[in-house]
Amino acid sequence: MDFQKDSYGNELRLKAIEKFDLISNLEQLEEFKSELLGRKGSITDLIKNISTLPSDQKKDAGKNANLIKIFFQDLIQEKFDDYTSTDAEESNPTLDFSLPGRRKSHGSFHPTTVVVREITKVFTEMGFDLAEGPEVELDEYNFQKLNIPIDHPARDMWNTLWVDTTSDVNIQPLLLRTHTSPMQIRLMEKQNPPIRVIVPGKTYRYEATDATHEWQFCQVEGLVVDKGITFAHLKSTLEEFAQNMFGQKRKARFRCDFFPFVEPGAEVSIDCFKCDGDRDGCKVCSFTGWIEIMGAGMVHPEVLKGVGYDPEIYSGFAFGMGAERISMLRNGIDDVRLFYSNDLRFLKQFS
Amino acid sequence: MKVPVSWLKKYINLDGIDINDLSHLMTMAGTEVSSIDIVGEHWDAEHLLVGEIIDIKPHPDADKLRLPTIKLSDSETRTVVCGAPNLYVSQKIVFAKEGAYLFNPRSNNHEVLKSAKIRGVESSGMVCSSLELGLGEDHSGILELDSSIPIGTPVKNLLSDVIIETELTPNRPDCLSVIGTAHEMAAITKQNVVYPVTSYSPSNKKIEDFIEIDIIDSELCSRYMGTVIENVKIQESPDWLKDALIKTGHRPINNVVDITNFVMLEFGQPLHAFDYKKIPNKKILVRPSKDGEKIDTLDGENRTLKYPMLVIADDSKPIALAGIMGGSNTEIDSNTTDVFLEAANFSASNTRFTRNALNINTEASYRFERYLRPEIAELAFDRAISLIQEITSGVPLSNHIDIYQRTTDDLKVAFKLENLNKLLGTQFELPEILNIFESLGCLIEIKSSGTIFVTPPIWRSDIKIEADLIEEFARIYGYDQLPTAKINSIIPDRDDSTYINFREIIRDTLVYSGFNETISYAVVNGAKLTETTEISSEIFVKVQNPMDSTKNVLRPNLRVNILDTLSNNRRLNQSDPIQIFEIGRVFGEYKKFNSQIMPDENDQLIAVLSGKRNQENLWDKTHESVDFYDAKGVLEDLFEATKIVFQLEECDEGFFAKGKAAKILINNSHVGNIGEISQHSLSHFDLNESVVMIEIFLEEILKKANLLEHQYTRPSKFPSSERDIALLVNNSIQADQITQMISKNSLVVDTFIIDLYEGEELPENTKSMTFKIVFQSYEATLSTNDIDKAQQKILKSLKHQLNIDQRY
Ligand SMILES: [Zn+2]
Repeated sequence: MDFQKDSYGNELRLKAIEKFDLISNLEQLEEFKSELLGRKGSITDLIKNISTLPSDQKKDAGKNANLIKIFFQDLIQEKFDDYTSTDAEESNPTLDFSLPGRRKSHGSFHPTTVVVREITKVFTEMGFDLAEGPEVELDEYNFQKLNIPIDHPARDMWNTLWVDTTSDVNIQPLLLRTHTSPMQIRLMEKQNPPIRVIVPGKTYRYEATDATHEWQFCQVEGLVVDKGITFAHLKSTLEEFAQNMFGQKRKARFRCDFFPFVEPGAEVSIDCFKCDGDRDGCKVCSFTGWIEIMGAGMVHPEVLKGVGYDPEIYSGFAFGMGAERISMLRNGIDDVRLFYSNDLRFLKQFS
Repeated sequence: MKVPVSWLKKYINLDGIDINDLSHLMTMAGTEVSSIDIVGEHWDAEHLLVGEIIDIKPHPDADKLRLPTIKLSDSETRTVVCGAPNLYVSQKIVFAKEGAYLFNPRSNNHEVLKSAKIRGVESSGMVCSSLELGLGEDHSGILELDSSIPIGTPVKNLLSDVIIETELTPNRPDCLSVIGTAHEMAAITKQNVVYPVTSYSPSNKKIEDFIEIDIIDSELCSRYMGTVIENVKIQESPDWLKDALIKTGHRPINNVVDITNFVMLEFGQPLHAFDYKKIPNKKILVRPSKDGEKIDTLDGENRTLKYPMLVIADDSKPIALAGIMGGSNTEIDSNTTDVFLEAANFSASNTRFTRNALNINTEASYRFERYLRPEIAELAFDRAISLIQEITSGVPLSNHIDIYQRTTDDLKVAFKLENLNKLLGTQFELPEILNIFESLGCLIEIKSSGTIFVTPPIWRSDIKIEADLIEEFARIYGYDQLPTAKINSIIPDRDDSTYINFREIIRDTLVYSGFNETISYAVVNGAKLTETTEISSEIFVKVQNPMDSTKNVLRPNLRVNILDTLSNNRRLNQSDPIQIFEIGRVFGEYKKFNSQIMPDENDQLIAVLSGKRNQENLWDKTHESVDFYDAKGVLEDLFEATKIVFQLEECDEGFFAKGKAAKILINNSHVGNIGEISQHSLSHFDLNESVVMIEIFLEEILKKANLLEHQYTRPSKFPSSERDIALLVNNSIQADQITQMISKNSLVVDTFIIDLYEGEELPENTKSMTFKIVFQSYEATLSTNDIDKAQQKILKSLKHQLNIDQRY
């Protein structure tokens, strides 16, 4: 630092340096600091007095005063660090390493979000688009247009929570959608083929809860419609999904199953990712070697006709799976009620 | 349905077929076998034998116990203690020797039988009831065997069986029968099904002299067969019949009722037997009931009916709920001598309507509502008459009533090979396919034109269109054997996904700033809701049949959910800080969406921070409660992540603490709220701590914000300089009024508050605020003079417009 002999405050600076050299402990240093830089310290006064100077001197004086201030601040800090660090070393040579570290509280995604995002990612990479739909649905979309007429026994497959529509006679029967399948209809009504979409979303059933049943859960629906879509495409697409989701060596198994809006209908299982489909199986696969992961099938001709698609020209397949079920399988969660109980001790495990 | 293999073997040859393998094939073909139960799995030939009671002595010390002596072979007899009431000399019974592995009803476990002293008398071995053998529930008496069975026969050879249980989809009522199951097995194993032979000797009396039947609505009853069987002797059923019912989970009642149940299980066709003499005026009507009509049903309930529940009625009142349950007024009892037997086909949807409305589920209603073919009725009818004569010695009339509304629908399904190959992605040849159709019992006609017509068998009601036939082929051929192929068509265009992307960025940002995501039930308690919102309860959307009657409102916002979650976690002693959020659907007023009236559904975000700002388990922090600015910081993070500019404006909603909440505005539209929740509101959730909340109408934001792509700003080549200015500010002035004013200066590139001080030495109603101001130019390095000038200008306008003085 370069100070000129006759510059503003230089006298004060020299005197203070002399005094500084005599300091021998922390107490004296504190005293020195307040004499110089305190409210009524000499450097504070020095700065205040600038305003009394002729205006042509003000600029240089201000600059000098500021330099002096910084000079002593640094000097004091340096000495302060010397004293304090020596003290620390003498009284407490090592830190208590056993004290917990300072951590930011960590956030977490809900396990359903985690699995839905994963499923979505796999299908998006396979060329699927993403759509969402209403959770309160018309009976017409949830059932009738899916080839499930009123008073059809297949309705027992979906115990239904009905919306109270008594307030207005103009409202058609409404319900909490029992599956994401009504979005098949909404998508097909909205656009012409080709369609390749998945639809994640909440679904609801009138169902007593226990470790494996929940009345609210999340499904992921899928729909592919185009010219020349075949059951062979269904098999290939869903096997590819299973492999991307559960590991490349997974095998998918297809058995006949019934859903009124598909024909032929299928249930899709994979060989157990825990025991690799061992003959005797394991707990994850209920000792069968196979794990059911979804329902699927070729879109029923009546459903296609209902949305104005000609089944002679277009065909398609649809599928649906329960998100929580997949999460439970993968994370070893043995009680589905944990998902919506919102116990942070559970949720924080998914950070 | 439970199907004993012993019963199946009456109609299909299962020799050499492994039941496990067959069950697997059935499951893969769509008729799922959910369990295989081996009756007598633990029976061994040495310890469980047929014995004959040759003597019974009283127990010296107990009235209810007796000491039967059982002969097991010419050289071996045993005397044991037995409490069963139905013992008699010469009776054939199942004897268990010491060491047999039996079900112990007391421990509810299978155990090895040990000898024991019962009331002072040594007893080694026991006479078994069906319960101990695992054959049924009946523990009251010992199991009686046919007297022709030789003593010493191992019970294993006599009574053991395999029972498969199928879990059926609603389209396959045919498999709700033993013969239907046999047909399914026959298709898989390429066999034939042999039907039971029926024959009986009728009297020469005419049905017309016994009863008159009238069907009022033939839509609801497509076929009604009936006849009278005279002189039946009501008794307990023979063992084979009881055994068949017990193994399929039914309770034997009496021979006539048991036969109707047996034939229902055999053919899948429900039957009903009325006591003929209890039908007054000998007239039967099949008609919809009138509103308010009553009937006492066989289960002992008095039921009130309504139109158009189908009933069987005499000339004044219902005597049965058609296809569901009989009435007590015509019940078969021990005095019954003449039986009116009914085999009918009732409307599936009417049956379903009635059983739903009356909440009454029976084996009959279960079958009828799944669509039975009317052709089955005559097979079951004949079989039942034949068995009634064989077992009860009853005599049927020479003819019967058969009112049959034959459907005009052609059941033939046209089939084209190319359509099958087109749907499955295959190249099958015709013979392979027709073989499978035939194995399923279909009739095939090939017209000269080449058109193929396939008529499904009479037991199948679910094959109606070509796609059904394609599935039939595919499932028997085996889905797993069919080829796979990658989709080769082009990937369709994607829809606009701006909103979903935006929402997911919000979700990410919250998690990365330390929030835990929650997902709650979509219904909430209406009373709690009213305490937390100013939305009128008149527009709440309600669930008609909620799981929990106190929670029946579809949430119009997420406040109740998040506060319930917070409160529950406090109860679980969750430590500070709790930072949680939920993104979910809320349900607003009904609106018309292209002529469909539905609730207005939208996504909302809710986030709360509560309690102390820092983690409780940290050893070196001061514990301060969260406040408005914690929430504000989160909001700033969210909007910075999505490049959205927002304003805040005071919000006076009572849910929030007064003066500590604001509406979030984007381009003057209300897109959410932020603030501290009032202690009063929190008290409804048993919360006694500071809770701050952010609520955002996610979809609204996208409508209101100009979601421009973020514009890059070129950094200046010249250095910036900082100045701190302390200001004395009236309390009514908010910080952003000052930052906005400072930012107006063209040399200012950034400014923010670095200190807020409220102290007694300050003039009344004022606060001290210190702002850091960053000056920078794109043209040159700013001189001290340039900065001084700019600063003076800023101070001047602050003084002029907001009456703010610099503080020294
Ligand atoms: Zn396994």
